[in-house]
Amino acid sequence: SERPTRDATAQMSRRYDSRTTIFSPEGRLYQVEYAMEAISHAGTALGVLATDGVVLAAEKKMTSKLLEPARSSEKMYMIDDHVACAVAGITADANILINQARLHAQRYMYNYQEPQPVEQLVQRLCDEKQAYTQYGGLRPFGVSMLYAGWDKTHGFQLYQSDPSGNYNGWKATCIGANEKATTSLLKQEYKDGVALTDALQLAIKVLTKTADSTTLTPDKFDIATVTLVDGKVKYSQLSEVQGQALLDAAKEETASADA
Amino acid sequence: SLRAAASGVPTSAVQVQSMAGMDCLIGFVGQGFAMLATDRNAARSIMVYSQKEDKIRELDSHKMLAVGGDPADTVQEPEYFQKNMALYALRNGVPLSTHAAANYMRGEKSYNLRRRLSAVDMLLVGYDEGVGPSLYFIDYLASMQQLDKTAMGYAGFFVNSTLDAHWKPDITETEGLELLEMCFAEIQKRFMISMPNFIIKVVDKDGIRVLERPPK
Repeated sequence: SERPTRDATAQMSRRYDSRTTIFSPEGRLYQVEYAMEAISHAGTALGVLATDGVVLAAEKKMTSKLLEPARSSEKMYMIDDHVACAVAGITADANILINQARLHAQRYMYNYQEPQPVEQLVQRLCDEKQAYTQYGGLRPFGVSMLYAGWDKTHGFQLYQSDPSGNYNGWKATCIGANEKATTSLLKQEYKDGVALTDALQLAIKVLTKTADSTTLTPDKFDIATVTLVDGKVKYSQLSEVQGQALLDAAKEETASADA
Repeated sequence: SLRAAASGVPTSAVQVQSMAGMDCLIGFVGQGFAMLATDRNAARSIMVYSQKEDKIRELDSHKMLAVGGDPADTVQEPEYFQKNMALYALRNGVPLSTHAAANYMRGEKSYNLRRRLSAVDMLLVGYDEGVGPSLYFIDYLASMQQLDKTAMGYAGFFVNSTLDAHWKPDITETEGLELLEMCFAEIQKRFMISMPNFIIKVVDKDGIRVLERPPK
C-alpha cells in the first residue's frame, strides 16, 4: 500500500504529541525528542576526562546586554564535594534536577557516612527522569546534564544524561547547541590517557571553534575542573584570568599550527 | 506517658534492658586480619536449648557480624541488614565498604529504636581492600564505635582487661588465637554461666574462615 504522504504523517504524529507517556506508531516518544530539540538551542556544554581529573566547559548564552551578571553560574553546579555538573537546556528544569541530585547525595552520605559513588548518583537522577516519560502525564525535563566526579571505586568519571533518562559514561562528550560539530571535533582531537592540562586545552580549543560568538571572552564561558588535591576531591571553577590564559594559549597553538 | 507505655515503646532507659549480657561476643583486629569469637549457648532462664549455636553471621565474603541479645530479634535484624546489603551489591556491582555498612546498620537501629524495643548488640568485622581489617562495636542503643579490641555482654567484665593487657597492634593470627584462649579460660573459670563451647571466625583478604580451637 502507499506510504502516507508527508502531510498525513505530520497529522498522525500530532495525535500523539499531546501525551508524553505513549509511543508513536513508529515506536518513538515524541515529547522526549521535542525536549532534546529544546536543548539543542541551549549553550554548548562539554566534558573531557583526563587521567588526573575531569574538565567541564560551557558557553553561556548572552540573551541581553541589560542582564545583570549572575552571581552564580547558570551552567555549572556543584552537586556534592566529589561531583559537579554542567547543564544544557531549560534552566528552571535544571534547577529541579540539581536540587534532587544534591538531596540524593546528602541522603546517601547520611545513611552510609561515605560519598555516593558517581554512577549511582547519575542512575538515581536518570530513574527520576525516566518516570516522566512513562507515567504521570507530565512532560519530560528539558535538560541534558554532564556529570564530572571522583569516587574510590572508579576514580575520575564523566557521564552524560538526557531527557529520556538514558545515561552513558564518556571520555569526552558535549550537549547543547552545535552538538554534532563539537562531537566530531572531540572525536578527532581526543587522545586516551590525556592529562588535565591537555584536557583543558582541548576543551577551550573545541569551545572556541564551535561557540556562537565570533570571539570568545572569559565572561562568555565557564570552565571548571574536578581533581584530587591532597587526597581530597576538589571542584574549582576557573577565574576569568585563568580562562583568559587558556584562551591565549589556545590562540598561540592555532597560530603556531597554521605557521 | 500512659499512651507510650501502652504501645510498648520504651518510656525510660530502665525499660530497655539488653539481653546481650548472656551472650559473650569478643572481637579484635590484627595484622591483616580481624577475629570474632562467641560462646555457643542458646539458653533461656534455667534451660539450655543448645550449645552448638553459631552466633557469627557472615554478611558477605569479607564481612561478619557477631550478634547477641533477645532471641528472634537477633535473627530478624541482622538478616534484614544482610539482605539489604546484598541488594545494594547486586544493584551497584560492588558491596558496601565495612565503614558504610556499619553506618547503615547503626542508622537503621537508631530509626528502629524510636519505634520499638529491640535489644540486639553487634560486633561487625570486615576486611576492605586498601583499608585492611576493621572492627565496629554497635550496641542495642545504636551507639557505634570503631575499635581495635572489645567484648560485649558479661564477657566484657572478664576479658576486656585481658585484651587490654595482651593485645598489640601487630598481633598475628597465632597470637590472636592464644589471646582468645586466655579469654575463654577466664570466662570458664569466673563467669557463673557455664560456657563449654566457643566459635572463632577470622576474616582477611582471602575471606572468612572458621578456626578450630586447638585441642586441650
